Amino acid sequence: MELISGVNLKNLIFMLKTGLTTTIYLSIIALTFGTLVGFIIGWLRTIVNEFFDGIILIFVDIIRSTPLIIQLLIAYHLPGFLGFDILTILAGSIVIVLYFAANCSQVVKAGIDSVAFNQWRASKSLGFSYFQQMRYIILPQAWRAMIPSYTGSALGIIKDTSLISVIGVIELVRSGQIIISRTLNPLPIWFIVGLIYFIVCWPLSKMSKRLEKKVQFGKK
Amino acid sequence: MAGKRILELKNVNKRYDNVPVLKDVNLVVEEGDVWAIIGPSGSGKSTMLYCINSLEPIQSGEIIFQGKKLTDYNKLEIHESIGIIFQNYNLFPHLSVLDNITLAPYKVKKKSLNQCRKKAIELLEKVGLAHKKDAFPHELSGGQAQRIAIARSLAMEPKIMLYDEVTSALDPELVQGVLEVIKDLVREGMTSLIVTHEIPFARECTDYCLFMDDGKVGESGPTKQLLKNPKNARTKEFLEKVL
Repeated sequence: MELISGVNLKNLIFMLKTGLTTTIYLSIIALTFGTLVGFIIGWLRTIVNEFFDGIILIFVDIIRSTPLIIQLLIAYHLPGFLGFDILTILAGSIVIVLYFAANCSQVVKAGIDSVAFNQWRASKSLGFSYFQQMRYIILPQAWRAMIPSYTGSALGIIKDTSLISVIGVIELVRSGQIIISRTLNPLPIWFIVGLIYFIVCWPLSKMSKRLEKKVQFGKK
Repeated sequence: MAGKRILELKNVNKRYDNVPVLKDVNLVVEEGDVWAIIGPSGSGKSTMLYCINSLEPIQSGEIIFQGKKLTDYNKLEIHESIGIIFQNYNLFPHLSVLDNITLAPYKVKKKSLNQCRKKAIELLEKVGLAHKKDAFPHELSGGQAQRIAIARSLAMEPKIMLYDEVTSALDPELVQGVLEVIKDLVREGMTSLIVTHEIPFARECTDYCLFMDDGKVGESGPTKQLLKNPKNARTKEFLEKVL
């Protein structure tokens, strides 16, 4: 069946499925490892002294202040320049993880910092250890500040995984381009691709809204 | 008064960065004593309380609590035995009133949850707020929040209570309720150090008074005597301003 001239439905679905799989793979990698690394970096920034915080901040700022697309291109060319071989998708994944980790670390740091110093002091005066303070007093309040900005970053990185197509990895956008190069009919394809992103992202955004409500104080 | 020393400050010096806030402060508190600590703002009254509760380190001198130097205790023992109430209540906003009170005895003292709850309800009755046990801090008035904060601190069964200007953030009509709770505790013999600007309250409820001036002990002695016949010119000047 020819849905759009030049490509039959089976091929179209196959192409999009291949692209979507990569997009989802990249998103899951970015969200899991990026969140983990970002959380650790953000938390470290709240406990180390100014000097170490400054050093961490240099790295975070470099990552946050250069376009992801440039970082991907560098990650693509750098291994060859240094004389070793690495799978393109692996290099790309590492870059995306670090990029999300950098953004996430800012969210975590800002979230922890948003809890008033008096909460630390009051809980300390009641005998809580540092980890107990974190677990029972500080983080439950910090989530509230973190969730909206974390969701923003998470949705951002899912959409930004499309940039990896510049180094030849076939994800959703790239598979759309490939289909279009055969059909020469871009508009319906871009609508379909856009719709798929929406189907992936929208539930996440809804989930975050529900989570936000859940962590509102005084509503259980 | 039993005459047993519970707390002693010997030549305590404290600096924030390089700014001295406590200068050679000396104080002896016996069990059951109730002290008012008065003085202009910035004179080191609150800082002294933080140092006693080891929320802030001191640079020199000694603080001796129950015969042992504060530095020889582990922090947990100090925080268990010395309660402190802050100007801004500092309740945990994400927890209900009941959870605010039970969390520390449950997690820090590792008592059973049932025991903690029972104790919490008793304390809530004591401060007259048993009906608020399921409320959240944002639903309380300042006066109620402060009474909950007192209950929260008492749940740790402290030996001594420190009050840091606990009524100065309150609307005037709410002050009395909080002071009544403190008075009750004082009557029960709780050793207390009360930083306050409420001179009439100090006169009525405290045995001794310490006037802090620029990080130093300006004058100290029995409250009634000190308030009536201050020896120090600075005390006199301060009392004339606040009364």
